[in-house]
Amino acid sequence: MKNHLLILLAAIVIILISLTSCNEDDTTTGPKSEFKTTPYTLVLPSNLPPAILPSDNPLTNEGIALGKALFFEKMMSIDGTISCGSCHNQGNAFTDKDKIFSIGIEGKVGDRNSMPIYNMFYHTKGFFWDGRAKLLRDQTLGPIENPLEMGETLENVVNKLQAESKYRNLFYKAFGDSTVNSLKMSLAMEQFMLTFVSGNSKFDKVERGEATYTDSEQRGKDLFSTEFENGSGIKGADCFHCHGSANFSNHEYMNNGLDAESEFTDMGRAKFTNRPTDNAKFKTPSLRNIAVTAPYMHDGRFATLEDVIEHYNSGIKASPTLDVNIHGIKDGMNLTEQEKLDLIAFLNTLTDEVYLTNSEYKEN
Amino acid sequence: MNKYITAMVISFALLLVSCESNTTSSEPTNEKVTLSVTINHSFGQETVDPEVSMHTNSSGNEIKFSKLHYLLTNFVLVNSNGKEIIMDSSAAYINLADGRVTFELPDIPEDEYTELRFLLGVDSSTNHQNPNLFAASSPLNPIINNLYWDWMDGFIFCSVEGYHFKDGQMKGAFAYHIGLDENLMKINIKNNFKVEKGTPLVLNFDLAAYFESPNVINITENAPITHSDKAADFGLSSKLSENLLNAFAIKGDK
Repeated sequence: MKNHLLILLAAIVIILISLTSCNEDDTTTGPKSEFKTTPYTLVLPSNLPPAILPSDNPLTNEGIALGKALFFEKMMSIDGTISCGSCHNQGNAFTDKDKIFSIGIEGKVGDRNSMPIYNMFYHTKGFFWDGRAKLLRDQTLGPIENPLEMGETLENVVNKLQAESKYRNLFYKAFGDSTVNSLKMSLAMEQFMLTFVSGNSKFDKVERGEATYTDSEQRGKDLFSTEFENGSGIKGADCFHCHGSANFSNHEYMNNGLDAESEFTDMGRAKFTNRPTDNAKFKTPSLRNIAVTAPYMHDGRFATLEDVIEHYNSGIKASPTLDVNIHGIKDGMNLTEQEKLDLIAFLNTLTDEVYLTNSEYKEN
Repeated sequence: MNKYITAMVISFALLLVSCESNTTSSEPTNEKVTLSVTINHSFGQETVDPEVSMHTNSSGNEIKFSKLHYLLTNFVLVNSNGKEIIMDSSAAYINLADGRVTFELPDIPEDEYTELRFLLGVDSSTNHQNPNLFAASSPLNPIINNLYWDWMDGFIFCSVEGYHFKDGQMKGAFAYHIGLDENLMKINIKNNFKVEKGTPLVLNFDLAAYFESPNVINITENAPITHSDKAADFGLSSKLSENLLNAFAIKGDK
């Protein structure tokens, strides 16, 4: 009889092993098998390339709802005054309207210009102006602990949220477990931001054959996508080398000639990589919705698009890390006043009112 | 007693089948392997480290490469009996500065091979198809490779960018972007190599050859930028695409 019991025990152990042996691939954050979430299908306009979505964080209605609640949650900051939405306004493509630097807790002033949020699924090379966050989920936690922004600890935020039945409920619905932790917070905020799609500007409509450019817009587009080549007879404004692709950015880190080496104050990407070859390199911003995201550059030094175009037209400063493609225009492009107006007319076609007013992205 | 033995047998069976769904090819076809291919980038015998290493070409240009990225497609392996393994839909995107230098070719029979062929660039039909129809994770997705010319409806096949110096003083930058169907480069490497499980194939891209084999390129005597417009670049793109045919080799003893 003892033997029988032993054999039975062995059988149970083997069954248990067989049940758990395949669980290595399961992510600890995925919904439990008895738990049901509703998949969210991200639909992109036909002229956009497919979204590159994280395979380990599938979009669900419940995850997105939690992410939205967290995005607009002021408990994220130490004194309950600042949420993500405080410095990322939808009407300004989720930048901070007219602010060079955003104001954080206790009136503290930030050190880089608030970045827009849309089409984040195209950013394959990191987040923030210096790319220090590899994934969007990593980015979401940065401002919480930044002393100039929310000035709070993740531990405190987790405790504050855990104490609220609203959040225990939302976490349960999204992840099948009401325990709050920073990983789940970041996954939910990643999901919410991945739903921000901008692909219905006039530019997109022309691409889809639903609209036509004015003469000035068309001239601007031609200038935008034509190289500036000294001596060849071709003359363009050479914007596309860095602001090409359907998202008007290569999403890389580059030095666009704002300062000479002796004037570098913010080392940009080098602050994160510690490589001198990354000195003064910053992320190439997308130009979608550019008309509503003033001021411009990582330090907000240019108030208007006219200022930005004049920088590329006549203000490039050489330095050892100046991008190769900017070298080609460093002696000036001599754009005419009409050409500058045409470029701005084209840039204005990138404003997407559908995205800027989409109620799905608004605070509940 | 029999009951317990049956229970044990069933449990073992469960254990054995429970993971089967994760392993797609459990049938014994051990002669087909996934070949891992890595590309080294050299300047003659020197290793290229983007933005760091300096190399001098035969024209005396002292060169620092900043960015080197390109597309490889349509791989063909020829075995010692002359049989061709054709992979029409194979594609790889290489970006040296990002450390993206390795890719995989699935389902290659273990064998002795004598020849490797591929396109540096993409064939005409791929070049002009709707670029939004590539899968999100495809090396050809323009968002992944940043090598698509929207306004020309085609890819840059190979982009080489950098700075050049004379006596250590920076003289300027160069950006050589080779595209257009007429410049598509058919690379053909004749060399013996063995495909076997666990052994990667290592190729070498020699940037010294890029600057001089057979066409000697002096950066200062050419336009600093080419987008393969022959009228504008005085034949530079044609010379470079000819040189690129000689820039790739299988690494190892010849």
